[in-house]
Amino acid sequence: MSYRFLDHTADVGADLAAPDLGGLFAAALAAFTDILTDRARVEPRDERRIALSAAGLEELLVGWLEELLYLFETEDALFHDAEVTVEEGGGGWALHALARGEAQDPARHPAKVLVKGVTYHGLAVRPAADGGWAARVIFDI
Amino acid sequence: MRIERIDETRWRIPREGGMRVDGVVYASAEMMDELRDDPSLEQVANVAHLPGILGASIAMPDIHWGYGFPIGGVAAMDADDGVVSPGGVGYDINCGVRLLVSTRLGRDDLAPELPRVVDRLFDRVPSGVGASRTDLTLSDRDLAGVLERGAAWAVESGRGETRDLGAIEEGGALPGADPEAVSARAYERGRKQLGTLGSGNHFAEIQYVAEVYDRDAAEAFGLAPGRVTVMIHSGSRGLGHQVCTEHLKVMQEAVARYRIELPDRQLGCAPIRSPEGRRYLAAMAAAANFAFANRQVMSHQARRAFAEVLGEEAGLEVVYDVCHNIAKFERFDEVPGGDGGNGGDGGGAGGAGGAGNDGRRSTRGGVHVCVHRKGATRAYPPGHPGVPERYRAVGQPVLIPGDMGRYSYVLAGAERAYSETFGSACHGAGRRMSRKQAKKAARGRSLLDEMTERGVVVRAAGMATVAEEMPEAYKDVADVVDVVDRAGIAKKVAQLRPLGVVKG
Repeated sequence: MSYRFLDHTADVGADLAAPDLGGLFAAALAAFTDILTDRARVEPRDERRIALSAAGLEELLVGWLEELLYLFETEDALFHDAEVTVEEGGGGWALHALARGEAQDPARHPAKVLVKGVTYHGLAVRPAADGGWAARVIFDI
Repeated sequence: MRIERIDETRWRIPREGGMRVDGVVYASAEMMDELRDDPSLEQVANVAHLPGILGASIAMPDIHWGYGFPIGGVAAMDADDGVVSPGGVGYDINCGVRLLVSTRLGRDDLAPELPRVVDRLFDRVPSGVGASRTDLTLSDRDLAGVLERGAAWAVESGRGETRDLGAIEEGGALPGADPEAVSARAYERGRKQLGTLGSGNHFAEIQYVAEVYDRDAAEAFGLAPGRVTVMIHSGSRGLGHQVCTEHLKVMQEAVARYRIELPDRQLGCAPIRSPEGRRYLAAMAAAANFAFANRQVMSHQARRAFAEVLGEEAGLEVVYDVCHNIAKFERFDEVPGGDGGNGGDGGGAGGAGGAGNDGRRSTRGGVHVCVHRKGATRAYPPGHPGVPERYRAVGQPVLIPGDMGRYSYVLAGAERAYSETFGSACHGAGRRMSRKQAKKAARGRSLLDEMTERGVVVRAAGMATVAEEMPEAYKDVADVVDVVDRAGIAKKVAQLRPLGVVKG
């Protein structure tokens, strides 16, 4: 899985890629952490299960990232990586994740930028030419 | 896209296709050259599609592109028939600016202690990533009070003076706020964030009055040359963002139900009078009140920081506090351009607009609108009852933060804002460089050293943000303010220059 940051006048965008949907959402988590702080310094000490669902894949991506933002703001939770499965069902999509990380330690996790929200701008989740998946998401910072 | 020049400071995007009104962009010729191929102009045209929009889809000279609505945009909707759109307010509900001026200290008085004051300000006003006040954790009941009473809640809890409230837009609390319209999630995000700056382009700045352009207005505002000022730029933090996020989602679904066709899904909206519209407005007002309370608490912290270092009160008085991301119900005499847009007579606009041909006001306040200001500031003119009495002769203070290391401005609302832009002016310097470009431009340079050479003391929670907020990343606010002044919507009163900055 991979992520790459995009140029955007006022905010930050990320292009994500992975062989499968679960990997794509894992890439989103990694990109998100890398915006907040230096992801390499976040240790996968604690595990947390996260589950959510949405009508479409794009809504699911936004919901996933917003959940991570919520956990960061309310519990200072930072995640290094996650194992994610994304499946169709019940008329929509469901995500199950085991996310690994730790609470923010200002000494080890230098502040970069605070994400204000996950936008719908240019939002896309689609199959990629190589048989994998790709996504784009822009964060309001 | 066709763009026609109206006059020295205004351009028209003529109505076509699904646009219900024209677009009107305030800009100099040089700015328009840069803007011509910018997506922000298309966004101005897109906003013109919204049901109930009156007059024109307006853009200020600091325009840059945003989510659906451009930043620097003003869109006024008929209060009865129009729609409300969370994207027209922004994620950071009531992001805004507060200015305080010292009645006692000049720049030279402060100089010996400046670094210590900046340090203390940095300690007392948490900023940056994951920033939260551990000494101020609000219970649900406290939070509900904040959401309902805004800055007054902070004053009642011992953080400020009653007289502060008279120097805040709307007295520091929007009417119609409903704490119960705000979700539990938003409560959780806001619980530890009251009194925090946030990150990005938010800051608390110690400044001095460097230049005065209008002596009467400066005197009315208390801005004598050399006086120390404190400017706070911040908003509703995680709570406001959560409200916006949730309601954007609701509106995306509501659009289909109300059969509203949009050129961009981010213009998601609902009729003002619909349950969805009402609920958003009630939650938005509550979030706005959180921001008013937030700036009030930070002002209190700033006063404490000065007093603790200097050993006595600095006499910091609130000049004014303005919103620049908000939707408000306001009244005007006429619809700009006289055409009510959207067919019909646009409420009282037909009578007021048509009959006022002799230039005098006809039906006072006959046009009732919900005006969206996203990166735009209210700018009421002299004589308007909404302006605090002691400023009424000169107009409402309009606070325009520039970028770090350069300058900020104080303007006074003027007549043409009332008649042309639904009482609105610009909000600050627009970005012209992406964050990546800014970082690249910064590489190899020590920004801290440069600031220090200019005499500015900087304390930032994260150095990455210092690079991204480099002055070059923004349009020059002096140019933005110049257009606004020449257009007669707000007049230059004073220029403020930074002495010390606390950044997220």
